[in-house]
Amino acid sequence: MAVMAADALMPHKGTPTKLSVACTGADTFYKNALVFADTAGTAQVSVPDAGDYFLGICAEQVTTTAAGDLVDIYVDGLFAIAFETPAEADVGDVCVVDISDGGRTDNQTDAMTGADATLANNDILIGKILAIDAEETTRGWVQIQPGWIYSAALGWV
Amino acid sequence: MAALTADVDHPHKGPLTKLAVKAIGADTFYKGALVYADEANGKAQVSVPATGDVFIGICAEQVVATAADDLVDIYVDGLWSLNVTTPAVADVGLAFFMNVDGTPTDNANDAIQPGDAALANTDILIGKLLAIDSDDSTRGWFRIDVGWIYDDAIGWI
Repeated sequence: MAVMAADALMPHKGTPTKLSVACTGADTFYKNALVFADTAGTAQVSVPDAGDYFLGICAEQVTTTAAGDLVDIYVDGLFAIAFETPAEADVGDVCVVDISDGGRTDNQTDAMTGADATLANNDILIGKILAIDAEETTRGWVQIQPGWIYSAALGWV
Repeated sequence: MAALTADVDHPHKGPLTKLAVKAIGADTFYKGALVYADEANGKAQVSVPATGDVFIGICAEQVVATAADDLVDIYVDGLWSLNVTTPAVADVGLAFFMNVDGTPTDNANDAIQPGDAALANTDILIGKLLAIDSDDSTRGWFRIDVGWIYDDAIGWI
């Protein structure tokens, strides 16, 4: 897939917690983009790099014009994410952005299971897959878990 | 810093889950204290955690326990603005913890990140930093993560 160019659909359940975070610079944060913290700690979309962490899911489209502009994100909750080839057997696995695979973006369709990613250093945890959507099998229900990346030596850190 | 001697207020966002836990013995649990489960018997304590203890939540209201098994209400999840040691934007994504080899207490101000002291066996995870508070740069917004301690060989367990 590719970096998001429009808002996306991502159903959720419950009442996710919204947080305002400062951005890295001028960019468009589309609704339901995966938002990452870069190594300087500020929020970005597009293509995450090694060492970046998942922060949350963009709540509303925001066009930032300068570093420090605020972006509202959801930092917890249960989201129906259209990761690559969801299947019942994926329940219990992690949903990740596979940094070592390259080309992975803020687009939910670039996320994948831990099994598909073959976890390696700096892969970014999105959350835990708890169910496949009963009405739309192209999505899995993921409890998001911001702030974790994979270490081959230590697991999730 | 030092163990709490008075209540402290930690702003928070979103819904919180409250749980009543049993105290290890006579002690004052101040509002806003970090509460730990004692390794030996699983009961709640404040002041100075020891090797093997795990963080279980944030004290909801001041309670003066007079005997073991008195109940203390704690919050076990949520997004909290904590005044940890020198929070900085560059720390976003990092795990803040109590350094068991240092001066760990029930005071959130004593929580540090891996740049302050190397993670070592039995260090106690408090939570992941997701943002610096835009109104108060001495605080960071944390998603608290209860029940984790560090192991040199396999990471957070």
